[in-house]
Amino acid sequence: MNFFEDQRLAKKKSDRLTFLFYMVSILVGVATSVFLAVAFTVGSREIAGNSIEEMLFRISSGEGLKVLLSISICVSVAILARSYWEVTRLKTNPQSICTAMGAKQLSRETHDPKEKQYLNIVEEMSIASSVPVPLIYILEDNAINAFACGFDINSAAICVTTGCMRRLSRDELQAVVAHEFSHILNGDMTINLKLIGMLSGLILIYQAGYQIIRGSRHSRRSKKNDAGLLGVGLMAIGGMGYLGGSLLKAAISRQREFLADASSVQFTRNPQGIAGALKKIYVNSEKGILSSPSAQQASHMFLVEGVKDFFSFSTHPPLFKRIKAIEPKFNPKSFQAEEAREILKEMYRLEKYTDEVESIKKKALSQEAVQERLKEILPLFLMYQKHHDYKGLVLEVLRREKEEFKNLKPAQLEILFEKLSGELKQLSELERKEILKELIAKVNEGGKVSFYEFLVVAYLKPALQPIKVGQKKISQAEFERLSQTMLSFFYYLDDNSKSKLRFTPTDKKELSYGKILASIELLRFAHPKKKEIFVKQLKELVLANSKVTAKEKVVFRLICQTLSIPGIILEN
Amino acid sequence: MGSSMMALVIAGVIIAAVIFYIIGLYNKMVRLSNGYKNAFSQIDVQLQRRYELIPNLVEVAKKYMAHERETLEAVIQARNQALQAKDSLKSDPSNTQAAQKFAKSEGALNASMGGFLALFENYPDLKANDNMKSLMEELTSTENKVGFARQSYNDSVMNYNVGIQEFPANILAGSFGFRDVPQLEIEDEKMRSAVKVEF
Repeated sequence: MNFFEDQRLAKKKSDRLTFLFYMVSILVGVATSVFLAVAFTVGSREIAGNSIEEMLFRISSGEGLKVLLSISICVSVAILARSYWEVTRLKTNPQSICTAMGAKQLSRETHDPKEKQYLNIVEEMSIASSVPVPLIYILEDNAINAFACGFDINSAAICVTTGCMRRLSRDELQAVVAHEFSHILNGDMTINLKLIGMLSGLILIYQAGYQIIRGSRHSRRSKKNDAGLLGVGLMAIGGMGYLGGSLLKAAISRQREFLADASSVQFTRNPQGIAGALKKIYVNSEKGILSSPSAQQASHMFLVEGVKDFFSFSTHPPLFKRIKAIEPKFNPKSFQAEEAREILKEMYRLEKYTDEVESIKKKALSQEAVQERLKEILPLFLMYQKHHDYKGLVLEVLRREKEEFKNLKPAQLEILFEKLSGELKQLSELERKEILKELIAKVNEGGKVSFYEFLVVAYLKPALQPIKVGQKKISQAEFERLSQTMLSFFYYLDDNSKSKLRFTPTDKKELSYGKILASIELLRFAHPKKKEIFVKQLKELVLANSKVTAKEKVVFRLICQTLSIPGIILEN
Repeated sequence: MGSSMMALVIAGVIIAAVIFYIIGLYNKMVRLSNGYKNAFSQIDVQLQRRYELIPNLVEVAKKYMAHERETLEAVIQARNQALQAKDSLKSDPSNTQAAQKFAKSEGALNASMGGFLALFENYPDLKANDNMKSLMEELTSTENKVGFARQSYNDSVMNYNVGIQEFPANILAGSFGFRDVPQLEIEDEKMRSAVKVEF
């Protein structure tokens, strides 16, 4: 796509249409004036009783011209005054438009990664288009859509839906923002406002005719016909003018959309961006239709048609035409058959990813949930914390003699360990070393290590003894040996004897908790791909006998955490 | 007398119209040339931002990839050289030698950044780090901004050049002192894509 040439064409077309629009407005004004002048002269003949010859003479003579001139002045003043009034009425500042739509303004100090990305993109496009950074808004709506508003390059606003942020890739969001920047740069809102103003001037003539007909119902019978005729004439002229004007306005608006698409490619230099975004809207069943009830009044400014409306002309070209303008080879039929599914998949992947990130964040943030689970142990926890006796706390947790620690559920245990790790990480290296020494000594004391003791060590050891990542290379043979150990461990954790196995478990006597701990630690150094394979095998094994025990769950999570492989959840 | 007055008035109106037209043309050319000059300053601003960002990035990465020291040091060194080259170019923009040196050191910085970012694949912990993620987004954005600033400069230079070459502006442009300005060339086509980060 040659975007400079496309822009030139779109501009030329919309200039022509705008010219035509003003010609129509002038024509309506002239037609109204002539019609009124004739009506006036005919009316005065009736009163004065003059002949038709005299009337024709009066129209063509200077006197008729004078009448015509004064009537035209009145008509144009009326139309312009009405337009001006309508323009000032609609010319609200962008903030109030966005707020009325239900959008919320974005703070520049946001910490949300998605919002931060959106802010950055707006800044990027501001540089690319040499337009000052506008006010930045977000509209809570799952549809993919966006709009810009404001009648001045220095006080404009830009808004995208949350659907945009969740479902579009960075490049696509950039293209959408670039499209809106084109509307700001090219003053499309101002053009649109002027057209709306003129249209309302034209509808004034129609309304005047309508009022005359209504008014004539109450007057004398003989006059009623004449007045009715006058009203019908005005309604016809005004109505036709309004219809033609609306058609032209919609056509101009469509050209401005083509212009904005071409400008989006100019600013991003990436046709795939805007094409990708439009395709995503194209394959999406809801298209860009917004759920906001106040979307109607702002329908002209959206990225794609934002409201369903059968009674007005399309302000946007059909999506496939817009995509075709960017990618001339685009074919809707073959697209639906082949590409569409992939795009939908990609969109849902993005959306799901965002949702997952958000839910993890929410979980992490909900301190209340943590407090709720820790309710019983918290007082004890706080007591040790107060005395800065973390060694005592760790040993208390290990001993499990206090009532509070005795019957903790696995989920509570995990939170307790996480919280404890967090606290321990804050300590000095010396303190941590000492706690670790004590912990290991206590665990080894009885000679036999229990599962619970193993858990405590496995969870707390990384916090007490930070391991430097990436300093060892694990060979394939070693990796296999380690995963063999771990898989065997899981095999004995639960009754797996009846399930089909893809490996032969090591003899139970050869396994020790110490060996398992070391294996987990060593596995951290394996290549990410290998880690993934390992976790997958582990998951298969755990799910093999269709029953996932609490023990398995806890250890599995522990391993995922240690190997930093997030997002795998065990469910039966 | 009546007709000569009429002729005078008409001539006066025509001359006034021509003068207004020329003023309009001149103002348009001034606007266009200010446009590309402003766009140039943006490139500088964004490059500076990038130079400030890189040390932060390296600082966070250091904790995770201690044994990749050489790569990290190479990045910092390349960054310092590029910063120096940019400053010397800024003090004397017409110096072609300084411009060449700047282009070269920018290329070196991009290459070492590319190597650095490629290493990330081996460190899932690092990639998952929130701090790193936001720094990466910042870096991506700044890289984009540098690219867009160049592009915007070239676009506005193109507008300016077209503006002064068009008839009838071309007759007057020379006498007003408006000359064609060359566009920035990207020395290496890979330059923009070299440092592209995907998560």
